[in-house]
Amino acid sequence: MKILGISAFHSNAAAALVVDGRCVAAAQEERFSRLPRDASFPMRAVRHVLAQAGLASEDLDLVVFYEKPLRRFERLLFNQLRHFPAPAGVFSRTMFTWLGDRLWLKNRIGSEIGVPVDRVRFTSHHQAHAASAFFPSPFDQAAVLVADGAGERSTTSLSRGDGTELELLTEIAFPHSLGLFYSAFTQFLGFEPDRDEHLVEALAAHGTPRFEKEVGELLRLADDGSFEVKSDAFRFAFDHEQMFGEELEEIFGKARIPGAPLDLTVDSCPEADLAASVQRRVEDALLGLARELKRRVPADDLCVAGTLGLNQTAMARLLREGPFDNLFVQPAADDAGGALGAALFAWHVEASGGERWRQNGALGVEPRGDVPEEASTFASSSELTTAVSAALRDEELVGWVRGRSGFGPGSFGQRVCLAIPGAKGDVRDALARGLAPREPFLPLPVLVRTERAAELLDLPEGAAGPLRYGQLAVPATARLRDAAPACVAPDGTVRPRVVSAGDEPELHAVLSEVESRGGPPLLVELELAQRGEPPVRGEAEARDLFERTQLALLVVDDRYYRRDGR
Amino acid sequence: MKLPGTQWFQRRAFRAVWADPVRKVRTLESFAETEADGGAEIRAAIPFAQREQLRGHLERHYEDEVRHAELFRRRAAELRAEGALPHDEDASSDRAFDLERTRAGELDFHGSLAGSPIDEVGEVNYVAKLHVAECKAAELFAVHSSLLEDDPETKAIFDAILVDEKYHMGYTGQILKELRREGRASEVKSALKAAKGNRLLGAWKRLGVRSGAGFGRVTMWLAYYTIVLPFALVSKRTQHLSGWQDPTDETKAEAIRAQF
Repeated sequence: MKILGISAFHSNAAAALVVDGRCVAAAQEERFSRLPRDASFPMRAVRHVLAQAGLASEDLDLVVFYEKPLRRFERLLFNQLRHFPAPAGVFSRTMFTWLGDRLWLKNRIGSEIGVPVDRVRFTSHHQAHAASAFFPSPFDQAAVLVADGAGERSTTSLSRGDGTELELLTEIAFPHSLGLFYSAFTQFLGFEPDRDEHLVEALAAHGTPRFEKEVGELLRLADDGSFEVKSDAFRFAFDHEQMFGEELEEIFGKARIPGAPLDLTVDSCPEADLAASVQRRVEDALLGLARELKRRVPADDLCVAGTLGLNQTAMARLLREGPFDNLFVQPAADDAGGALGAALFAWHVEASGGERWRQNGALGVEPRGDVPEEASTFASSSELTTAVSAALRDEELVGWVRGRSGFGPGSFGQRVCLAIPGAKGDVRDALARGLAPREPFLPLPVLVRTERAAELLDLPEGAAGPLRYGQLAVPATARLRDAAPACVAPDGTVRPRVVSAGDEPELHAVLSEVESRGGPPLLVELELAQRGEPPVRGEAEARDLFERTQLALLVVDDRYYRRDGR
Repeated sequence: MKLPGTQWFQRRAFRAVWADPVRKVRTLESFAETEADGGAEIRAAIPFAQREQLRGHLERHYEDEVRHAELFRRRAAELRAEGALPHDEDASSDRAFDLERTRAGELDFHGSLAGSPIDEVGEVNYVAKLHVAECKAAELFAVHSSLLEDDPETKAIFDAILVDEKYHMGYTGQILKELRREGRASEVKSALKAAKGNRLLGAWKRLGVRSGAGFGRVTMWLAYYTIVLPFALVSKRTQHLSGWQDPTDETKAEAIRAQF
């Protein structure tokens, strides 16, 4: 049975193809359109996943959309009525969009993809997220937490996963949403909501949570793990352009103007302190949810999806202080993963054969295109390792494109820029000059071998799985702080990805070679992308980026490009 | 540039746009978005261009589009700062349909249909599409420039951009000529025909979307304060549900057939 899952219209549209219960390809539309977090109907991603499997649209048995459109429409309509007359302008736009397009989504899917409408299915938003978290996980039984912005009606859900069964147990209804609460403060702090939440998380590491009491009044936590957002202080129930209300400015002062400078050198930066307070409160809420989930599902393992699954600090705290021993966070925890979850959910509901596919490795796009004349080829993997480690030891930047791209916001070692946290100036400056500037408060992610992880990182139990995808912020040891001070946040944490010889042998070999030749035991790893752009898709785009930037060496599988004159 | 006589209708329409300070700002902002979208599309095409010469031209074209977007954006911001637009005026409301899909560019890029990158349509079709779009853009910008005698700052922007547009027309025309010389004349001919057809279709769609958006907006406003009002008053009396709720989803094959 061939099932195509689709997510679209909110952020990061994607398509995933599941053949006989196994995901054979998944891709985000942004990688093809080059528009960051492109939410439009993902036709290019659909074409790609079908081509990857050698299928045509008529071969599809089912196409599954990751949301129930009529249920979402009901919620939108109700909230716009409830806040009458404030959202008059928003109402006209929303209704125009829905009456003109979204309400007829079934037909649109049928006509755009080219399948009969009786093959189109709809999971709920939270079913899709929960399925994306549990079915591909390594656990046979697990508790499942979805902490998101908003689905149709629910914003947070608790589920039980057992074999091929997934049962939704309870949920929290809109507008009480941790994701939207965090996004509203993201906007209040002068960043783009639904895109820059990681900046708030990074900023939080520079502050102290001195607004915890005020923030606590806005997000009240109950003993049973549920929570309540003070909805009068926010506008996100009916307006996505201005998510916070006037009450926030009365409590915390004027909202930060986007782009206004942040003075992090002072003892108490109000923006950083507010970010720290919000981060802390949301983490507390997630811990409460996890404890309630444990009470309802006495499993050892936890699966997480939804946008808050991308919050590395919160996920680390959940693992360290929460009641579960092991954690699996869907690498595409945001809406992109909904495409995968929708397809897997439909497979297990309609045609499960009792076997589950477990996610292991990249699902995205192959580097493609003819081998250009100027490309040279490494004769062996040891030659590749030597050349890359030599360039890194010379404190050069290396582009690394290997196999299929990752599915989800991260690049997971497939499309990355490698650098050594060396002594020739600040590695942050080198990356800013050579690849793309980053916000000065955003920590640089590091790459560590499994053998060195315990020595460099203070790891909680059960961290191995999430660290493979770089999903945790963990404390650095003194050894790491000495080796790479630029990578350590003021709160002493780093964002590491741990590489094993089994999963990523080439990258593991490069790390070993660098260290054996007297280099540091870790590397800096950034997405291979220029500022504001999605990571490169394949060889052609990587070569283009190579020409635009100051990368000294670009490695694409066994081929490489060197800067002229070197 | 000599203006064809058939443009009398456009001149009338555009004169009304430039005479209205609100529409002027909106139009400049819309041009900024269109140029930025065009730049993004060209940027995405560069790695897939087979001809070295075309890659070079596209590089410059991309930079031009980015610069044009910035010129338009800055001018619109100046006019906004001068108070041309009420603070709460929603500049994007007439593109609500597109914006909800978060692809303002679906019908844009100098009026041609987006969504045809070079790796999908091929080099000949892509260059033909660019050529037709640039010729039309140059024509329209000349009209705009001629109507802005009373606003020398904005006129200067259009005049500067026109110089670039001529270059864009020139290099795309030159490459099409080379392709003809290489024996691909019929391919070029059909590509140009298709590009012109797409432009007409794009214009038709734009007209539909814009008139539909305008009509829809007015209708919804009226509905909001008349038909919707009683329902709104009832809804306001309800409370948001808080705490844990029983789930509404069912794990059954029939359940995933439903859209509700």
